[in-house]
Amino acid sequence: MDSAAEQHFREFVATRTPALMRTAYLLTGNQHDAEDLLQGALTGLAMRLRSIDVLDLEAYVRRAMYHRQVDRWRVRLGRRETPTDPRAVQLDAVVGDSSGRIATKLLVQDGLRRLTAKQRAVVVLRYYEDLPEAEIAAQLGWSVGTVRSTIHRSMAKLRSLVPDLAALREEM
Amino acid sequence: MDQDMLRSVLRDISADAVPTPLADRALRGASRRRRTRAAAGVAVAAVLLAVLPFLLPAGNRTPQHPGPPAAGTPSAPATPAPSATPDVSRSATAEVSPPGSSIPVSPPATSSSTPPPG
Repeated sequence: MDSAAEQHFREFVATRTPALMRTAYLLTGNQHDAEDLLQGALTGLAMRLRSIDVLDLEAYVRRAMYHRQVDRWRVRLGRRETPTDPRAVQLDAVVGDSSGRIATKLLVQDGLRRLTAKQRAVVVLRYYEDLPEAEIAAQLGWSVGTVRSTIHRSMAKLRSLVPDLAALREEM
Repeated sequence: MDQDMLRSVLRDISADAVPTPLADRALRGASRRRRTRAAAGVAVAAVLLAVLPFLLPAGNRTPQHPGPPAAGTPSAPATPAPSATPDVSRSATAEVSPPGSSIPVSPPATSSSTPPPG
């Protein structure tokens, strides 16, 4: 990579890292994995910087993160972590803070950890990035039907894990 | 809880992420990956170059069994055909037979068995 390309890369990373890190954090559920995920995507970008259009840098990184996360899920199928008890999370939240907002946040956070990486990616793309289903399908390389059914299953699981989400109906 | 609430909660959760400087790490990782790829390419090329000499003669060393002669092609005679011209290479020492004679005529002997004249 020549110096101009490296400079451009550094500027992009410095500018967009906070937003990209937030997405990576939602996808992985913890800081360490989020850093790994984003760094892997940025490494791939650094290797291909000359062949990628300047305007597409962020799109490339986001797409790489989603794909890496889903692939990582495939790799880690054999060693799933045991999630914590949601009732314990709820109890801690109620004891620690009386406002229901933080309790809900903790419950949703725990519910997201219990989803598969595919389901989590779809929820993030749909409700955090606000992408329509067709766009999500294009990002992940799936069919629209697969995206729709994955959203449906993810939200059903979230509703079962987080009672406050019971009234939530996914937008179709 | 409606969808706006879920979006809001997701934004709250994402705000817990701490941005860390990743440019240097990503650049180091990229150069490390490039070196690894280059080394792997060199290794594959070296293995191919090492194996190629063994592979090529093996391809040429396929046994060549003579096939059965073609039906229309006569086989070569077992004995050579008589030549019309005498063999020049043996003319100095060969026995010369006159035409029509079956007795070989030897050249004058110079051996010690004949007594010298006188």
